[in-house]
Amino acid sequence: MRDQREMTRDLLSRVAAGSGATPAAGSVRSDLGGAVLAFTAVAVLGNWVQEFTAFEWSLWAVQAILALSLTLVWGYGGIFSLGQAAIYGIGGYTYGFWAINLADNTGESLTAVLAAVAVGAAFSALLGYFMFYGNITDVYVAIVTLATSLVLFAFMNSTSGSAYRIGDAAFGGYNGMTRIPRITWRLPGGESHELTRTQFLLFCVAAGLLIAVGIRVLARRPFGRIAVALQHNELRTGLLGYDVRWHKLAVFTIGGAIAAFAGALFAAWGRFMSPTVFSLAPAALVVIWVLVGGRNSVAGAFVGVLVVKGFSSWFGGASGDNEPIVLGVILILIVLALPGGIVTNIFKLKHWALNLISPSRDRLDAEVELATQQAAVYRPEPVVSQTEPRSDINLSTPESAIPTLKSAQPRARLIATAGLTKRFGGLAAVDAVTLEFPRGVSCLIGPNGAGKSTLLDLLSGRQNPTAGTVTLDSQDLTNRKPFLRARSGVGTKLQVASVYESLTVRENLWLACYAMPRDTQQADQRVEGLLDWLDLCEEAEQAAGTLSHGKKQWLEIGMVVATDPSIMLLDEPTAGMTRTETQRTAALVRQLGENASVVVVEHDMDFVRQLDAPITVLHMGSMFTQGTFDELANNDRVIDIYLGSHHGNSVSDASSADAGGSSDADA
Amino acid sequence: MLTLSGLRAGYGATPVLHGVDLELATSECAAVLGRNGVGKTTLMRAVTGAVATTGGSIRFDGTDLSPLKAHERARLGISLVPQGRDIFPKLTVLENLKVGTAARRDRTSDAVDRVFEEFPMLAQRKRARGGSLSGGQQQLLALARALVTAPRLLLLDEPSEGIAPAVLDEIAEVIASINSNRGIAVLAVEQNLEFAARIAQRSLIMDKGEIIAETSTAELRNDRALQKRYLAL
Amino acid sequence: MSPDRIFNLGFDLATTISILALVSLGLAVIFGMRGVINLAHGEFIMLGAFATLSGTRNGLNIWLAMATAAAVVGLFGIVVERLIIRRLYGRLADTMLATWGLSLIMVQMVENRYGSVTEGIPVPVGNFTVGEFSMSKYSLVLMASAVLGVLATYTIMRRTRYGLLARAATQSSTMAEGLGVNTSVVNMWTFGLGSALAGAAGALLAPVVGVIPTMGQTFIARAFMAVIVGGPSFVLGTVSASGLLGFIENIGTNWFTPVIGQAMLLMAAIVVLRFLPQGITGTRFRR
Repeated sequence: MRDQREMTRDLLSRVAAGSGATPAAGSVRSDLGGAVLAFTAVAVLGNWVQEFTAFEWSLWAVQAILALSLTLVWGYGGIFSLGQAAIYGIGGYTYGFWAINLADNTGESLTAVLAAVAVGAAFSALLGYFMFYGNITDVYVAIVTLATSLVLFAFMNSTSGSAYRIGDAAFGGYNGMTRIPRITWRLPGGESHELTRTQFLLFCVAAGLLIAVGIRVLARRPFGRIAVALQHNELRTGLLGYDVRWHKLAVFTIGGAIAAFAGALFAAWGRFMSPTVFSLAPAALVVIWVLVGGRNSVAGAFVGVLVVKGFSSWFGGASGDNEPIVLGVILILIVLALPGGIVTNIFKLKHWALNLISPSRDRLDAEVELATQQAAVYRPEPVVSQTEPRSDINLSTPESAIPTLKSAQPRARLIATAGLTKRFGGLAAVDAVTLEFPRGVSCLIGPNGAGKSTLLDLLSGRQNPTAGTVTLDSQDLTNRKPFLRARSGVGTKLQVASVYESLTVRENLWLACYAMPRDTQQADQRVEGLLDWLDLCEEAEQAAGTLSHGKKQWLEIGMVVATDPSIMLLDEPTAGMTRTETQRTAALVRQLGENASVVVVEHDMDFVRQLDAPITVLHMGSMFTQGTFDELANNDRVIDIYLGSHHGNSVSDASSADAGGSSDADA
Repeated sequence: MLTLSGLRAGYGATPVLHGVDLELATSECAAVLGRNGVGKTTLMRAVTGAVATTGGSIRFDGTDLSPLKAHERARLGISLVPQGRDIFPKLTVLENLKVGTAARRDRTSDAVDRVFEEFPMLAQRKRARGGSLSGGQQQLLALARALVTAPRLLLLDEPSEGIAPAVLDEIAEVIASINSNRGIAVLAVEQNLEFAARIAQRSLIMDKGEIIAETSTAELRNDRALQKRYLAL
Repeated sequence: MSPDRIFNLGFDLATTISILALVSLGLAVIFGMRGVINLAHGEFIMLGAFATLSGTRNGLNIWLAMATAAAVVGLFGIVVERLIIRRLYGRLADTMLATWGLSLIMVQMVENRYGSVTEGIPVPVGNFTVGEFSMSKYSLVLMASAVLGVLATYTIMRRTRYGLLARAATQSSTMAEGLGVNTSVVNMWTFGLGSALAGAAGALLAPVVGVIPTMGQTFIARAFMAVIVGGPSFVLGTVSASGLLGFIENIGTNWFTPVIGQAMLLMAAIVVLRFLPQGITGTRFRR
């Protein structure tokens, strides 16, 4: 049995550990400052040590860049790709071809690096398009990327003959491509200079740090924030109107460019490329680096490479014979014990250390206390005696008006369905429903199995109908994807609160505010207005996951409102709310109804009564009757269908109402 | 036999049960009625161990259930027929029943034979796949499967849901006989008052995560005002 | 084409498919039951081969050595499940990573013990000829074993108490628990069964492939793809996927090289997955 404190503490630590990145705090200036500092340190050390050591270090820097590509793609984009090493290989081989053939003529090989990046990016874009626009799920991304690597491995291995060459560069099969030129540069009209080992080290480190800073900058820009969001809750991101597929493709392509860049540097470093780069081991090694270091931050890439390298050398013995065993053990331990990676756990350690130092109160406890207190406010009041009918407490509507967008397009007036049907196997969950929802609030109620949620899904686009149509004024929405409907002005609030749990309340609202106008300034302003309207100003910087249930629902409603939809679909908005919260929500929804068509599915009859809106009763998938609350409350037929004593006399007759056991749902 | 005191439970940060008090005597059959969303299913799942509790206690014949895992509670004699029946769709009727006996280690086919005698419809469809049965047939299968585990407490989550009205009578009869003939205690959670009236003498009314009233089912059936307040609109 | 040439090609194809089925079966059982992807599967196969090698070196009859090897690997699998896999159900990426770590450890440890080059096991049966083509009788053994393996797995799943509980737990583990089934123990046996099948595959392949510590690597990719393409129904899925992919691999090998054959198998897998993300026996078809 766990008490509330423990649960809150649990939630907080989970949120802190995070399974993925959150938009980076800080600024460009501090990032660059940090990078310059790191670079200077390396530069100083680099000049001290021997050339050979610098040579060794540069490999680590190159590997760190490869790791960064996965940090971006996985940590920030949520795409579990096992193909980064393969794109690295493609970059390396491309550099090889280009440089071997042209470096002599042009006197420099930097264009070869650019070519590698271009080819790597193009390959990623192609593979990404194949995957993300094909609606393949996360696991399969890992499988497809891995399989692609192995295919390349097989092909490259079989290119041994001398016939396999581009110009002067032979593929070399399993023996690999040799005599790849080092990085050479020259100013127009000047001499060629080949980078020394120390210079190469500095070049790689500088590049790595710049890329790291670049990723952090990107993470703070809308593009990055959206990428992070879709990792945390892809469904909600789509419902806000973002094209999730495109974002994934973009992130994956940029990641590919970075990996290919690292590959080019690798080729220039060792002057040699072999097909083993495409095999299983390197593919997984990149994941190990990022996993060990922590995929939430760019620092994790560097830490991961160094730690894994360090452990392997230290434990693996001089000859490095037992390196695989060490790696294997590290991997298992990290997965079992440190799922967040080292860097995240360092932050947790810091937290604990601060607690020890902090004199009066346990810092973590203070946070828990606060969260608990807030939660306590929303505990339901003890039930009053059941003899008196509840008095109508009229809470005033929220003080501020809903901050609205200056919409460019005219507001839609009406969402309607015609003969809408959804069948699962033999069962019609929604059966030839023809309804109209004009401006204002409309309620959908009905007993279990009536088809309310399915109908809402058909309106929002989460499910496609078997027959019939959904129209928005004159637009046919019937089979349109959810994110496109969102862009046409349909906002959906799901039954299970779907917000970004690991992101702050402010960030949640920002993502919703940015979705339509795509203007940062407008978004920033609107967020403030919404925080005010929702009365969530105090919790603005808290993780949404720590909000009490009722507040989370409001946050989600706020996010729906933020996109200024003309149609709002609210699925059981008061589920789990206390009586006070329910009343406030009713006021909120009535206010929303002034400007939009709000369709509310509900079970809580108190709430329905307070909404004071036209109600449609569904029963077994068809429309049963319509009316106001008072009419229906006294309608015997309606009461009966809830109590189960009313059979037949609905649109479909009793025998066909046997809800068959077989359904299309996966067995 | 079953005592819940101040039971609290929920999902993550969402509390659903806010202190449920309930008592069920041996061989008694009672119904818990309430609208959707009041926490009926959560109540069932808290008793079987599928949902972790955050406060209060559950005692079964004096034993505190909290340290016990789901399958351990099942072996104590608590059997749940969940909402939607949860039949193993790809297993045959016979196999569904055998899972019930297999888990209990008594390899005797006695229990299965006995159940086939009581449910001739199932005996006829021995080799049919669970997923191909109609809602009513699945309900009977689920009940039979629960019986085969020789339970002492039978929990039913909305047994009437999704079943043709014509078949409801038969199912109500079966449940009533399970209670009276075998002496198995039954706690059924329902929205359908008519159905509840056919099986349970005592009704507990649930609202917003708490049991707020207790009455005889017959009385509830006649009290329109009470029905309207807690069960319908 | 002469009839004996056709027979030869067909025989060749049947051999390829059988080998693919043998190496995939263990992985399919585990994946089909619990959605676990065991990246150390290749190493379990390798372990089976080495156990057989060790058995024959100690004077055991070769068939006995194979049977023992399978049992030993099965036992090893149970240990691994209890120590590692048990904590990772539902965490697909983490299972893949942990088992990959395990595979690294296994390869290195075997290499430390046996070195990286080993002597092989002589093929226990000879050849036979059809027309101008000479084929190995051992291939017949492999084919028979593949059929036997599939039948045995089917029987275990359909006719034993364990099989019943395992299938029930896959379809609804909550309900199974609610009926008193200790699903944790059932999972353990499933992993053990899958491991034993892998060990058996390795044992059977020992006479025909080079028994080296890294031999598992060449199988894992193909087995992996066959399982994913096959989908959740491990008997039907494994059989159909082995058939399809084996066929494609065979064509690639015969027209080009074995390496190209593998590559073609993988490409076919990618294409199938694009349109049938749940595999051939999965339930959804995506446009």
